[in-house]
Formats: sequence, structure tokens, C-alpha cells
Amino acid sequence: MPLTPSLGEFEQIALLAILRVGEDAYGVTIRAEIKDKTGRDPSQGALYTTLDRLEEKRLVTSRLGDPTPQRGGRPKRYFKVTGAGVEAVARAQRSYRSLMEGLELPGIAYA
Amino acid sequence: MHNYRVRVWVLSLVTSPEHAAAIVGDMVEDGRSTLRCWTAIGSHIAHAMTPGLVGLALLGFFAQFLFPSVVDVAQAVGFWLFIRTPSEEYWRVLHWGHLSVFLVSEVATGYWIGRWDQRKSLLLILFVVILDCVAGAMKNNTVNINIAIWSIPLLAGTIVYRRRRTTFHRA
Repeated sequence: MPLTPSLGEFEQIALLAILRVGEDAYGVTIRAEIKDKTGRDPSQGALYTTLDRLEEKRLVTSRLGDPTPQRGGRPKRYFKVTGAGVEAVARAQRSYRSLMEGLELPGIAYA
Repeated sequence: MHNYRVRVWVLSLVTSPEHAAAIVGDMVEDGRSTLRCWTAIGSHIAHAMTPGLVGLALLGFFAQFLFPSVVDVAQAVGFWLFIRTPSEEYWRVLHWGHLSVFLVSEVATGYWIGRWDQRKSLLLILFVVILDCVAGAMKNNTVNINIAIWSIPLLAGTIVYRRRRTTFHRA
């Protein structure tokens, strides 16, 4: 069985945001999704460094779109989660659930 | 008049030109002010400067001396075997030969630095040049223009690789 790379917290957030946004996942939409769902507003540098690292780990792929006038003639860089990326995020989530099972944190209500 | 090209160029110190253009495009789409754009660019550069870069820069620093050192050893052996009484012409040829070998070595090292880490190659070149200046300063007790001049063929090698790669992607 191939080894799945371990993921940091922000790497998981970035992967999940890409999965949520779907086909239109590029820098601006990924950042907006993270801000909307987590309340965190990551710096562009932190986000792109994480996305580059995920690409190096082959957990995401990226491609350049066509340049558009509203972006000053610069292209969008679209991201897509690979099969290994889906597996890595699923494994991380399973680990979290497993650790949380039967655990009651004081003052935290679960839905 | 927006200085998008300058932003792309600065960002391409730490990432590929294509990715730098996409990042600047995101900034434009976000409608960021000039100050926020440059703050974001500073953040990009800070995040990109990982410890791995220092190791690569050291490797690049030593790589530029590898080929000239081999040639120097071969020249020294040849001198003792075949030339016992060198003429003035010999020393002149040797001087220019040595410079030529070093020039080729610098271009080749720049090219290979581009291959090692295409995204951060310009930053690596900057580190190697700083190491060159530090080494020069330790040897001569001064940083002179001769050392800085050798960064030109180093940079040229990297640019040749980046241009070849960009042309390949466009094709």
C-alpha cells in the first residue's frame, strides 16, 4: 500500500476548500472559501506556499487558465485535488474522528 | 499606471514567472491597494525562504568551482609533465584559458541552479552571489567588482534555463 503523506492543519483546510469550491478553485476563491467557512483570513503568501507544498507532495495539481482583462491580463492558476489528496484528507479526518470519539470537552456543545 | 510587471518580476525571485503572474492576477482581482499588494509580495517572499534554500545555495557555491578545479589540476599535471620552461605566451594563454573555463563553469552552474529549483532559482543565485562576496571578502579583505561581475554569467545560465522551460511550456 502506498504511503499517504501526513497533513498539517492548514494543508487540510486548503485541500477541503479546493474540494468545496470545485472546478473554479483558484487563489481568490480558495481564500474566500476558507474565510467564509473558518473565519480565518490566511495571507496570500501562506496560502500559495501551502498550495505549492501540496503540489510538490502530489496531493493537488495546478493548471493556468486564460489571461483575463479584469486581472490585468494575468492568468488564473486553477487547483484540483488528486486521488492521493482525497485519500490524505480522508485519513486525517478519520484520525480526528477516532481521537474525538467518546471525548467530551468541557464547554463545547456538539451538533 | 500599475507596475504589474515589476510585481511579477519581484515574485519570480521565489516562484516561476507563470505562477508569479497568476499571483499578481489574484491581487488585481482582489482590488488591493498598492501598499497591500507589496505587503502580500513581502509575505510571499518570507514564506518561500525555507531552510532548504541555504543548502542549495551552498551546493551552488561549491559547484561553480568544481569544473575549474578539475581543469586546474589537469593543467598543473600537464605543466610538470610537458612544459618545464614556460614562455610569456604560455602564461597569457593560461590566463585567458582559465577565465574562459570559469565563464563556462558559471553559466553551467546558473543553468543547473535553474534546474534544481526552478521556482526559487533567482533567489538561489542571489544567495550564491552573497556567498561569493563573503568568500572574496575573507580572502582579499574587501568586496571588489570582480566578484560581482561573475554573477552575470551565473544569472545568464539561469535565465537561459527559465526561457527554455517557458518556451517549452508555451509550445
